[in-house]
Amino acid sequence: MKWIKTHIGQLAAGVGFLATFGFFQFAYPYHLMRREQMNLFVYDWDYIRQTYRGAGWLGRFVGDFLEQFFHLPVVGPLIVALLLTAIGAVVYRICRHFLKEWPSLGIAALFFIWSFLRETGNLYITRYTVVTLAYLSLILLALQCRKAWQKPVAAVLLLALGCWALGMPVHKFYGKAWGVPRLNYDKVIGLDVETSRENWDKVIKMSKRDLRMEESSYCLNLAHAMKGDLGSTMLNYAQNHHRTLLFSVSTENSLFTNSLAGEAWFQLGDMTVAEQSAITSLQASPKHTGARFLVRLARVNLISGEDAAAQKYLSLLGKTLFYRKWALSMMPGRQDEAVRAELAAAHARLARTDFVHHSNKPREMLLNLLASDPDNLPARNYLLCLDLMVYDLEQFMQDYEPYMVPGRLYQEAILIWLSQQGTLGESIFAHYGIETATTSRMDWFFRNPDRYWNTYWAYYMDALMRENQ
Amino acid sequence: MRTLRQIWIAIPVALMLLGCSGHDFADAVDGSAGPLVIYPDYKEVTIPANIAPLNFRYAMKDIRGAKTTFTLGERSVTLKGTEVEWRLGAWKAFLADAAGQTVTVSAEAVVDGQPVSDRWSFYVSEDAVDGWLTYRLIEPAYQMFNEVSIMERCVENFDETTICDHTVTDNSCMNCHVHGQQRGDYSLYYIRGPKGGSILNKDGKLRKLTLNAPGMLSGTVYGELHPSGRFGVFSTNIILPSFHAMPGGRMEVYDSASDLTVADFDNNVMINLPHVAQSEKWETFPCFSADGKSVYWCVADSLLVPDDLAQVRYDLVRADFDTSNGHISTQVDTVWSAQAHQASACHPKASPDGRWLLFTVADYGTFPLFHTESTLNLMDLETGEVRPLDEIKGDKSDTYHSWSSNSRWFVFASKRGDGTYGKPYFCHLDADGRTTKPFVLPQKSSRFYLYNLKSFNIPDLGSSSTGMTIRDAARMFKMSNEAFSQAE
Repeated sequence: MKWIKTHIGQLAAGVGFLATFGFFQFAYPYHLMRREQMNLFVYDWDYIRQTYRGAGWLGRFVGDFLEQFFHLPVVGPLIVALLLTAIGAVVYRICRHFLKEWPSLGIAALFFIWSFLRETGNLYITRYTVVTLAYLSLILLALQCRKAWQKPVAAVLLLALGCWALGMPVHKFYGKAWGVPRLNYDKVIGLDVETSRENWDKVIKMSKRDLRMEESSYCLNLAHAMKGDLGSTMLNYAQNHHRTLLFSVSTENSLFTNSLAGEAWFQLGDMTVAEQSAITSLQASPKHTGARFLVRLARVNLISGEDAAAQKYLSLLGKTLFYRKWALSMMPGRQDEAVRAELAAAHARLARTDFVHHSNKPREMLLNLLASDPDNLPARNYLLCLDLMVYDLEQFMQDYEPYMVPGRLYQEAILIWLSQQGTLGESIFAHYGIETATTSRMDWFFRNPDRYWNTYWAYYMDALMRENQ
Repeated sequence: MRTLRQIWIAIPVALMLLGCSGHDFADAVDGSAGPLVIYPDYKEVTIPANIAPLNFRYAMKDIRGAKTTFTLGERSVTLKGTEVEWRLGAWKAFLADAAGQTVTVSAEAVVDGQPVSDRWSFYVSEDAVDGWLTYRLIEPAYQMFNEVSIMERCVENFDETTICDHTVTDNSCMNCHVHGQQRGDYSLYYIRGPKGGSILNKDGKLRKLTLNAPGMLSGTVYGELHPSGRFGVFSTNIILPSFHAMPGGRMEVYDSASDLTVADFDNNVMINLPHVAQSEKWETFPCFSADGKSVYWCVADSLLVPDDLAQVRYDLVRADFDTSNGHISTQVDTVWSAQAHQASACHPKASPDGRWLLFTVADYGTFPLFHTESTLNLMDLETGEVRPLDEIKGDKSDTYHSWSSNSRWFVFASKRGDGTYGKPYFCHLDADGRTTKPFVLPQKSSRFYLYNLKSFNIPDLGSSSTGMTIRDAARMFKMSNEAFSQAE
């Protein structure tokens, strides 16, 4: 007990450190990864000189330097836990100049919790934690002066130095004075991060619990389209009509939606929308230089054959710690056979007929892509699902080719269309590859529709019922 | 404890060295020809004597021991290293009496272990260029914006000041700083948004105007200021940004309606004339002739857009301008026919000496920023002869040009090279309309364009500084607007 009493400060710091680390590592794992994607630290003296000048240069420099390590698992939560614990420790040391142990500990705990909550803020960047810690350290330094008159003089001098090197410890977007963790939002951020990394299995695994958010359904749709089973799974989770299939890049969308919009279009082969989505996202990143979007821009331009533009982005990424190897492997003239084949396959998917659109005509865009590459299965799946989600069975039947794209929902839609045409029959079932199990399930559906909530019949019937109401 | 501290210091230092080492990524995006590739390409260019140092780097892999010697008559200066960056004073001293002479540059380096040498020159023109350049710095999205700024750069050195930026305008969009007759004390720019307005700088006195009146399509967009200081001619446009399905086309921005209008700054009225605001025609990009007695603009038949966008082609037309009342004559002459050329004209700008009209020609439409075929065309206003300036055309779009006050230089925004980011290029024009190889705006760092992720939008030359600062912008943003009414 006595030992605890004498080491209560260290114990509290240890608990705080572990709690913070555990929270960011296990409960809020994508928050810091996303932050890294919005940041870029370039190892080039000239770039550093250009970027980190003016008031607050040191705060920006250290913040960006540390954030690059959030790319790695474990390291990000470790750094944040260290920074927050340091804030608590410095506040405690400051308070001990004026107060006894327990009140000092209480104030330090409050500062720690406040800094922790700020860290969980949506757009928050590490710079502001670093700057807060640095200002507190300067105060502590001023308090080290022996003579009473030296303290205010040192405080003024150090604060002036702080203003020049650190800048303000708050910012209206990126350094808000208050934050609250949003666990569900972190899950959507996680889907976004894994979508950008093309970890389709992980996206599907992470979506076991339906978040019932448009962005999460969008990511899941894309993962299933890439796995080739969108036509079977789409109604297993929440959809907002056709809107959760493909997003447009528009001033009416949130920055997050605009950022996500490029993911699907990139995979489908529309490099123009993918590029604009990436540039729009770059604009929204704190320094307009998010690494994730520079990677996307490099890929878009390599696939489009715009090597000079790609080189510009690759040159920047080539001066980073964690993207250097990738950038070098993608640099025109240095690509290996596998990279060249990957780019050629993506290039083959590009549209070969031009038209002008506002990215809000997904059907025309998909048809245009399919005209260039009829084997573009993700595009085919998206087209068929789009037809289904807007209840357009006539278009669906025109777009559908038997045996080309498997999908439970497609078979269910065909059965509705055949029954509307009055052409139900074994031979036509065989033509469309409709299995007996599907026809039997339709019988069961009419007896107990609630049990078959994830069928196209339920989706279609719901629309009919609403229309009749 | 001491060892621990040493480790903490050593880690970032080691990482910095790791990151900063090597020249693996030194490939040129749009480098020069020749055995030694330099970027920016300043080989065989013509420059004004008052330009800032032409800093460049050797954009090659595995290059070592570079030595570059600049020779002018008896004088020579040698700079060592792969990044050839002058001190401003040394450059100015070197070029002190260089006007009308050729500077030869000899360079040697070791590339891939082999000695390589190169030799080129640049000509220092006797014609000075206007010393101030304004531009908007923006990401090439054009649909959305965040943290936009309008800058003024002294092209004689590397000083850059902010005229207006997002920090003082509630992150509003802003655009188009244009000088009137290349005068620093006569110019205009826009701050958009609910608290925005047109900031008119006349004789150094700033006014915040609402250049809009009932019946107009929109507030004013493109335009130019009249030499008298009393009028401005503008277009009003309904602008729609869109995407091309094919990747090379990138973005397309088109008008679904546009008219012309004249602003009378002395009487705060908008003069809207029906013959330049026809619903079946789209009128845009107006500019004054050098003497202010004519107006040039672009006009096209209105079509169904975007479906028929590829058929939208703008003629270049001219009409007299009545300087007593601000009226554009109803007698409109076509000076360049879209039908005859099967192409579309935009951004006409008359040279200050009245001799030339420079405009951009693209296959169609009104926004050639991503049209790789877009080419600057030069019209001789004495003969009416038009010549496409193919000799200075880049591999991507060239547009948004502006004249120097002596009519011997013009600057234009070119996306040559990376195709995405517009950069200001300067081009010399002699009395007979002959051009020389353009060169990009020099920067203090030879690697600036490698890292820059913003477009230099609407570069506009001024013979003196506007004197406007961000403090002025903040003050104007808070001020209430002067209203304009419809002229009787």
